[in-house]
Amino acid sequence: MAAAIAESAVPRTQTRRKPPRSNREKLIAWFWIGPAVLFVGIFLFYPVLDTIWNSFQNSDSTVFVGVKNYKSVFTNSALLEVLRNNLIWLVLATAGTVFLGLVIAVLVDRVRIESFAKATIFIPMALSMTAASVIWRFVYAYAAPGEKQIGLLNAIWTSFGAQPQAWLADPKNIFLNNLLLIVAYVWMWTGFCMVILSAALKSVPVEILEAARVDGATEVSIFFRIIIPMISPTIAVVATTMLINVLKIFDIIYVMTGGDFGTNVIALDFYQEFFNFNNFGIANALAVVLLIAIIPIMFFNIRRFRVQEAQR
Amino acid sequence: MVFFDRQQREDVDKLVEDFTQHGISRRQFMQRAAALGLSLSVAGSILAACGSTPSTTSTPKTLDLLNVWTGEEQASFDAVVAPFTAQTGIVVNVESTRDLNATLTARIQGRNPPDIAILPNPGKMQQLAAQGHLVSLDNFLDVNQIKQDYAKGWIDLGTYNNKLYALFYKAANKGTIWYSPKQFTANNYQIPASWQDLLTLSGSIASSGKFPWSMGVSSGSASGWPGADWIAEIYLNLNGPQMYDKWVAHTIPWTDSSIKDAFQMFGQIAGGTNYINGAPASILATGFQDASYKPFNTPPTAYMYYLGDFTEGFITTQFTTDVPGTDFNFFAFPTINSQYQNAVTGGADVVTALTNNGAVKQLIQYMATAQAQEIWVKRGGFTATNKKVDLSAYPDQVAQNSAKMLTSANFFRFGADDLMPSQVEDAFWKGVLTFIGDQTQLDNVLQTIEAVAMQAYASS
Amino acid sequence: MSVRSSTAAGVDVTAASASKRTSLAQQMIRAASSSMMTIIVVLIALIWSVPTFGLFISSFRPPALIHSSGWWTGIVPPWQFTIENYQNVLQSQGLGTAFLNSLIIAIPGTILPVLIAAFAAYAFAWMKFPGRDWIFLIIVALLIVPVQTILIPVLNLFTDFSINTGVNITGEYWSVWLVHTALGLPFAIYLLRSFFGALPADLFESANIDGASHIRVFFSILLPLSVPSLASLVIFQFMWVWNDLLVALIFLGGNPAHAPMTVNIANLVNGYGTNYEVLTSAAFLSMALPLAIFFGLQRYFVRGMLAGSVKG
Repeated sequence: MAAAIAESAVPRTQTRRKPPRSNREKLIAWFWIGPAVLFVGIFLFYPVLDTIWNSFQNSDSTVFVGVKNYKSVFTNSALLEVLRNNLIWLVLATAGTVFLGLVIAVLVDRVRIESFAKATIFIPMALSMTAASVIWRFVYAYAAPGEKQIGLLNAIWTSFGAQPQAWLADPKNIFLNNLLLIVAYVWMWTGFCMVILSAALKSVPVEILEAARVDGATEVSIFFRIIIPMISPTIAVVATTMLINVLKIFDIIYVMTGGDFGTNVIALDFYQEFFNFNNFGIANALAVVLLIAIIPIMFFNIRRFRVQEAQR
Repeated sequence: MVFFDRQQREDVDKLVEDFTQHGISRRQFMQRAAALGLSLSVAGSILAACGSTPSTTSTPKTLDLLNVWTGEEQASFDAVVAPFTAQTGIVVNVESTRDLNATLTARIQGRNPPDIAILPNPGKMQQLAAQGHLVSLDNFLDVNQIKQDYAKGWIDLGTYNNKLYALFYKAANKGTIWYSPKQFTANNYQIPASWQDLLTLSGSIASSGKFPWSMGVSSGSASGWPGADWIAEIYLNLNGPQMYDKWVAHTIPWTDSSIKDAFQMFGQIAGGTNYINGAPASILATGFQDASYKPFNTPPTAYMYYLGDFTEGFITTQFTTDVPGTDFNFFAFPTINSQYQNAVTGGADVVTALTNNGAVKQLIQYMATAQAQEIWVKRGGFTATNKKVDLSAYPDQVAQNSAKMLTSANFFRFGADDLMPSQVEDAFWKGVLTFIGDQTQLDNVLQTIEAVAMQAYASS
Repeated sequence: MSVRSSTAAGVDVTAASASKRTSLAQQMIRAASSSMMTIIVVLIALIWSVPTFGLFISSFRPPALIHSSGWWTGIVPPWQFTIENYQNVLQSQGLGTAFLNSLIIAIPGTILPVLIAAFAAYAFAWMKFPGRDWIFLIIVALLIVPVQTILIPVLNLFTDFSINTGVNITGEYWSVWLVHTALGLPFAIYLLRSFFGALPADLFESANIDGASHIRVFFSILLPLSVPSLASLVIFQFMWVWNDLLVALIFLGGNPAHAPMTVNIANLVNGYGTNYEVLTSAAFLSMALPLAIFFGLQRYFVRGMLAGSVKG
């Protein structure tokens, strides 16, 4: 990479030199990260500790009950269904948004109507969740057989002569219900991945791409052997962020099905227990399960991070 | 009041001294009291004791009120409050949200509660009263006046531990089945007086190739509640008020045959042959509002629809030229058991107080009066709980009849699901969804709800 | 002038011979595939826009029709378009104040986290101090914290603060500025750290050699080169704060004079959720500003910022 070459042009002695201000730097660094650490510590980290503490208390948070809440949570058979749904979301929603975001970012990079195209993919992100729920209501709406269909999907479906389907409301099609919600989510969040990956793409020097093309490399091989490696740090950031977002998915399921018909997820379960039933102990235990689920993701990130740091 | 902690006692003494001598505000008193671990009602009592009755100099000029009335209801409530503000100078800051549970829980737990909260069901009120977050309304209202103005049912519902904690406002009559008089006359249908008549009518409409019923239970995270309304109304008419109370209080289990019977009767309609177009999928996928349009479409796609009297608002908004009484009307839920004739379920919003001060007292008193309720009655979409509200104030015949039906019912009960703890209500609603989808699952459904109920009542 | 560059795949190319290698055939293939690409992009953009288009058409239809027929029927005559949905929103009580409130909330709610994150990200990327990597990873891990879990602990903190100092935070703009900043920091730091870290190390080396302080490096070298990433961050952070409803409800709820547009719009829908047609027009009205910002910042998504900056 450019960095490696540049470094080789600099006399070794200079890179080995220990800056005399390394101790000062350690001190100064704390001013740079101070505000961030303060904010994050007070408003995010402290509530996490509060949540963990309360997960060992009863539903009023007045009596210590040990692991009773966790026992309740894990013996509840509904939890398996909930976890399964989270897993389906994790795989499909993350793959969908990141992959589509990447492909579209690469495609629009090459065309003149880039701004317009990016805007159409971005607009779904600019909508609030309530607006998105109305949009997808217009897509998935159901009207009884023989009546006028007001949902786009059923209108298309019945035009082929089939009976209208109760999208999102059929208890026999649990996987489909989850899939339909995931489609709505991917439609919204691909724009996020696309914008960020597009920003990363801009930092790929165009000379390298031109040179590769000139040398006879096909677009596909350029994509896989030049572009992807060069923006892989950003892909990792985007993928990790999406994974975590999807883990705590709540809004879209809440407004569209309320978790019914096999679409319940952990964050929604937490919301119900916490705000509707006021079972603070169980709710916090569910939240802790969510917090623990991030550990594998962070593990992967730590390893990647170490590799990256070693290269710098 | 027993203070187990000497430190706490000293803190409270200091707090009282601050209030009486150093003039900290009532709000600061309440917040610090809460910080010391005193419940709101205890703190309020101390305040009352050392501050005597709230005087005008210590009545705050603003009031924080939380309710679920958004949309046109927000405008109506503003109209109700306007004369109050003009008269007393107290500004009412209204926070409306359909997400009341989240907002209320957060604010109470965050020790920043609203002064008044208008809850959508009494179950929540009982929960909050038990936790000590509510201020008893006995301090604010003239008990004798209340006994004169309100039916005993409303007073009993709002009582917890022999103290009044809730004022019921904005009622709903849930014993109404909606139909088109024009269609009934044109097809020579008779209004059914008994359940058997209802089934006969449904059967004959179905066999003539039309769909007698419309039904839709989809409602976001609350899906299933229209079905629960059906079952509660059936239960009351079938088994009477004493059994109803046992069901709600969980003195009989959900697996009791009386409950199973009610579910099955509901199932006769939900699953009747050719009763509902696209059943059962359509019932689960159709919203309760969209379902209300079917009997009034041109041509109609159904002939009867059961839902509370707030349905009138849906119909008039969609069919703006329809005339109440001629184009749409309701008939009373048919009798099932002649012993329990004229039994009606209903609902209402629950006004509760969380702070004890002069402003809250004045607003609660105002809202209890007939005049305050009449303002909204005239605007439509509001059935009064106060007996003194004149029937002529209702904007049309249909609304008037609905109010009359509510006040003159032989047996009145609040909707069962709203009286239960939130977990049980939620399990009930979800159980209704499962039952509609597959009626053979009834025993499973009832056992599941029973399991939740046992847990809920055990922990309370 | 030829530039020797190496790609990650190890393909050595020289641009000097570029013009000689492309034949007419290859140029034609390139032109054809470029217009193919445009067509594909246009198709994707069109399909992606269908749901939004449905909402757009619906916003001009009378409510009775919205509830009873599909939006595509509104495209063909007879046209029954109306602006009543827009009028209902624009004339709703307090919308002007709410719009101002949204601005007052969103502007600091964007600037603050971006600034704090930029400083912190620079330190994480280019300074050395003990615990640097662990602190960074913990901050990233805090991405998992669902917003509902922080509401009550933070509310309690604010209440304690106002009891002890007599200064009210809840109900004032401060509360949402602080909360939104904290919520936005993990992602902002994660994203910026990744972009900052990808900048060539020798840039900073040469600056160090010249004796520039970190502040100088930050403002005169780092920021100008990071414009695309900063622009993406600003777009998203602004949009998330602008569209937020829950935080505003909890922290500003008791003070309706400070409520943002999202609260006003949510309250246009009645308790039964039956007049959702107001959301069709409200969605577009509310989306106008974030979209304008998106377009306005598009010009920062340009490539080649690094070109020529790396010269031995």
